[in-house]
Amino acid sequence: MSDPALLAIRGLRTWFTTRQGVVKAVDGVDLDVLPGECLGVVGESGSGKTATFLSVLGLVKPPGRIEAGQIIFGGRDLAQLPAAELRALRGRDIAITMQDALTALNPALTVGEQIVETIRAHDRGVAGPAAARARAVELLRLVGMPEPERRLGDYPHQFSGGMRQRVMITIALSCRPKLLIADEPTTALDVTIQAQVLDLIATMRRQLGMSVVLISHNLGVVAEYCDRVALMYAGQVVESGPTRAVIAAPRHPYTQGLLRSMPLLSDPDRPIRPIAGQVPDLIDLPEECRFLPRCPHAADACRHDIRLLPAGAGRWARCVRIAA
Amino acid sequence: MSVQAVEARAPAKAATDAVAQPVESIFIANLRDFRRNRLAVASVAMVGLFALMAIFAPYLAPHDPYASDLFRRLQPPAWLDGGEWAYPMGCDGLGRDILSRAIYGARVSMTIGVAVMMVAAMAGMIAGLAAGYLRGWTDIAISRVVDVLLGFPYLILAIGLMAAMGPGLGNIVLALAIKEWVLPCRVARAETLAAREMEYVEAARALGASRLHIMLREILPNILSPLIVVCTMRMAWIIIMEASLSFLGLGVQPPVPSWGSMVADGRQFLIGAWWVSTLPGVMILLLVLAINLASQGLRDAFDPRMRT
Repeated sequence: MSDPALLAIRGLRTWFTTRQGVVKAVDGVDLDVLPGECLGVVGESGSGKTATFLSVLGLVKPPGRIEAGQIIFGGRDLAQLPAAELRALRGRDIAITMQDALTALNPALTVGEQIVETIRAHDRGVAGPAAARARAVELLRLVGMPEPERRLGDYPHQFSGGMRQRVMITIALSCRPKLLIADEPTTALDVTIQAQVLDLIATMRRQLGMSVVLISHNLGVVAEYCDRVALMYAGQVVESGPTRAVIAAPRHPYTQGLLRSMPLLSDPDRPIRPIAGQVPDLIDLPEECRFLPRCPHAADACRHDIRLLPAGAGRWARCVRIAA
Repeated sequence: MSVQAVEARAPAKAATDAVAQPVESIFIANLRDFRRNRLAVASVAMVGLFALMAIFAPYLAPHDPYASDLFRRLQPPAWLDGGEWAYPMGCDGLGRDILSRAIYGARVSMTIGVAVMMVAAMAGMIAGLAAGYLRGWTDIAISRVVDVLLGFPYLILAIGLMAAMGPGLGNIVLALAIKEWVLPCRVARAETLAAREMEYVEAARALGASRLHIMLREILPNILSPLIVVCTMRMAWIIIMEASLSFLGLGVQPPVPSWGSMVADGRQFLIGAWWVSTLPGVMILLLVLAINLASQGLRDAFDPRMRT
């Protein structure tokens, strides 16, 4: 974690105070996004992947609150930034594409209006309406939209799911952000379109030289498209490192269990062993390893707060057995 | 019909199903639905006629609405004994032509209906958007004012305000708008509460949109249809309210002709000269009915929740 990272998250805690207790959705997350890389963030629903990056953008809604931690981006701590400065940064420097492209596009505005307005929101004065429109056409062509000039006047419901996701990506890219957060860009799409959209994101990353955070619950997708991967479990990063290395030799029991529970095309007869037990309730968690109740290697040493420990070249894992 | 023609149509239809099916905005589709509703279209035409009548009153009215001729006091309509075709609907207690006055009366009703609705719609929309989107103290403050105003009987509030401010067109608009904005406000607030939780609002925030931008550009277009429907429906009610105020002598002051005051003028002659009150009453009825039917047609076509 010594490289000059584009985005460095340190000890981030985002908690939701509810009537039942404090939900520690993000509890001590350390993450780095390096310039130009694609980082995959993998985890189950509720593991804190989305909450982490909503915290980065300052979009956590009450009763959620960033309790502690630093979010260093461009030399500034986003967790301390005034709301107005954070807003100016959103969309211009860091953009996010939402999970469901149908609901994330405004049904009452044409696609062209939505793209043009995003461009104009950050480039006020610099780009006139005509220039912004030309840029929208150019961007739509770049993402592979046929007949971009004509489709600019269409409403979101007139597009197919894959095309809508392309529009979302276009809007996210319209101000050439340094970091694109793609929050499960493919969940609402069928498999062939999934590949097209992921290829598009990969191409855009190379062309624009930006970093991409690919949030997914699909380890296969991440393995194919990401340089590095971070696995999250119950609000914490449990393992991170170069994708290949992590998949070839997982260090954390959760990663190991996850990989064992996936079917392999190369070995279809291999038995699939799901991880026993359930994700813990995030309310009032004890100060011990979160994976302890489900871990096959559970020991007394696990009964205290476990930190992320270096686990080889550029790799980290949150397990006591690493240190041993 | 020849077989050839059928065959020629089939592939064309398949092609439109595949490609052209979506190329139509929601608005155009709604408009087409609306045009299918004959009664609603007829009602819109009717409202249009009243509007034209108001605009071109000086050219349409056969006589000066203010000119009184005491020899024609309570002259009956043309088809009754003692009537003449120069004064088709007869004359009122001061010998003024009722038809001309009724035509001029459309000006007052239409002006006040439109003006009050514009003021109320704008104020209510802005307040409702602010309350629904900003929540917190803004919402509490606006909602409490709304609750208080809803508690007042409409007419009594208007009477009190008119008595305090004195008569005049501007004061009528103000007196009615002070309560009328509450309804568009409640609709706007409720719709905004639903819209603010939509993912496209979250997406707009994620792209750095300001609160003003989100309210006016992201949410407003999505809540406009129910607002328009509510406002047109309320316009009929406002016209009745203006007539009521004028009937009570608190509206437009004589000699300016207003349907409400014309009905009131004729009241004392109701037994002997029923026609003095009748024509303005029928005018009120027709205009209000036309607006109501038109707005119901609008609601059926434009409010998505009315669809089954």
